Amino acid sequence: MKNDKPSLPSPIRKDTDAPREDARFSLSKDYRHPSFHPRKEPLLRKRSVAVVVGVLGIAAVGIAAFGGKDVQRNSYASQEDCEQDYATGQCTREATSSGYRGGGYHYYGPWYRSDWRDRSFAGDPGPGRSFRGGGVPGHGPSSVDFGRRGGFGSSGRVSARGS
Amino acid sequence: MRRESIVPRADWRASVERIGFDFHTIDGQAYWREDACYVFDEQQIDVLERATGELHALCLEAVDRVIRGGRYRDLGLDEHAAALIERSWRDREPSLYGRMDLSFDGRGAPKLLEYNADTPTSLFEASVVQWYWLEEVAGGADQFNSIHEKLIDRWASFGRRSRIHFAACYDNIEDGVTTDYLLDTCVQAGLDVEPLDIEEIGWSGRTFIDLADRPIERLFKLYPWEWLLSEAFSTHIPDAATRWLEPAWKMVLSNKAILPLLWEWFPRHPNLLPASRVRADVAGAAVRKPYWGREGQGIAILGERDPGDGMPLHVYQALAPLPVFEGRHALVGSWIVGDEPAGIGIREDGDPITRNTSCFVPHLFR
Repeated sequence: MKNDKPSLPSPIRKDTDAPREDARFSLSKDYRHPSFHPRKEPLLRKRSVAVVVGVLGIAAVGIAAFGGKDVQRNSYASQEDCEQDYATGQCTREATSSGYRGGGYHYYGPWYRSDWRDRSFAGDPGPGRSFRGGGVPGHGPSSVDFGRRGGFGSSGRVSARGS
Repeated sequence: MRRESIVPRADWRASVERIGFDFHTIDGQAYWREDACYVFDEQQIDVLERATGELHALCLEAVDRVIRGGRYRDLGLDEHAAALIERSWRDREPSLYGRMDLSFDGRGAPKLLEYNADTPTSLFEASVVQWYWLEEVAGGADQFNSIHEKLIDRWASFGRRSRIHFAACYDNIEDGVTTDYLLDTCVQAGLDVEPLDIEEIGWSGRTFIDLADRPIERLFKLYPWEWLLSEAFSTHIPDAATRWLEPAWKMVLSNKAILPLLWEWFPRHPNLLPASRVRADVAGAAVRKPYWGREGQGIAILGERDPGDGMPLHVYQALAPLPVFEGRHALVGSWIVGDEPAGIGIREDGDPITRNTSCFVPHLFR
């Protein structure tokens, strides 16, 4: 195989007759795209694209379910308040955004889907115990940060991407 | 360089499907054809390799000159794009890959028709499918193709502790295959990966996030920069720490308006064609190309006396007809991975303009 990098292993050159180990497949036929079927173990596949057709059908479902949905997270005055709503590992401390008088830190729960009232979603952390009615009075979130999904991709719905 | 008619493998469909190539036939028409192959000699491959490396070097120099000279208007780019380009160039953000489309007949110098520097596809066919074909059909021959190894090598250079997010429009099979293949090479390089559809990227108010709300630190996107910059989240790009693949400076090269600038700075270079934003500057027959367009969209061949119509955001490039073999116009797609020439793929068409309906035909050299 034509190549200019002699430091690479022998399979690069076709004329060595060495098998190209990296070109072997190890993926089972029922493999599905990890975006929509979270993997339980690390990907070990080599050239695994044999699964692509299945992937694509599933992807369309995923887009319909998630496209353009808002996300949000709760802001708390203290880590203790956050941990009243979520598990300890789900709370993070961040510097307050610019323009916030006095600066300092706020404590945030995880991002969750804004349409959590409509239905539950596997893997979504949800709004925390306070919003679900199980919180401790006086320790709920002080505000909510809003994020968003679906801000990219509109052009791709109508045209080819590659070139 | 010649086109040889050959007998396809009896089970060729099953053979290519086994390695994951399921779009070998599109709308009932063969996309992958192995009833023929292109045959080169080693010297011709050397010529292609040298030309690709040389053109890549010219392109990097051109990016630097665009930035230093502020030539963004010549490329139809606004201040927003310019700021992103300059930041990514200043920060030396690495690129992953690109594909140069060359007119080459095996005798003269290869001529650059365009550089698909941002979202090139036909990668899997070039890297994997034709390699397996060679193994089964022409084991004694060689092939200009170390794309796979070079991709793994390139990913490894990003650092094995990195997590790379991959975003694409997965409802398009070609995009899905290309992106999944790149993800695969990334896994083989030992990096952590996370794919998601381009529409699933979130904005947290501070950073882009994935479906698990993790910050996206480095994002491979098979999605053109000009589209990203036209969409709702574009205003967040300057504020986010996300590193993009391809980096924003590739906007300079994936734009066909780079062709007149290359000709301006490297006139009469053997691998370049005369090009201008003004039709009258290009003598003889020419090809009109939109600044942005993919898969042959908007491309028109103008006769020697055709004055063109002054369409904005179009360039004119001297016509370098593709060589014709048995009625098929053959285009060489020459791959760059990182900064190295990595291999070629041949697409052919009955029409002089290569489009997304053109066929991929394997090659070998002896």
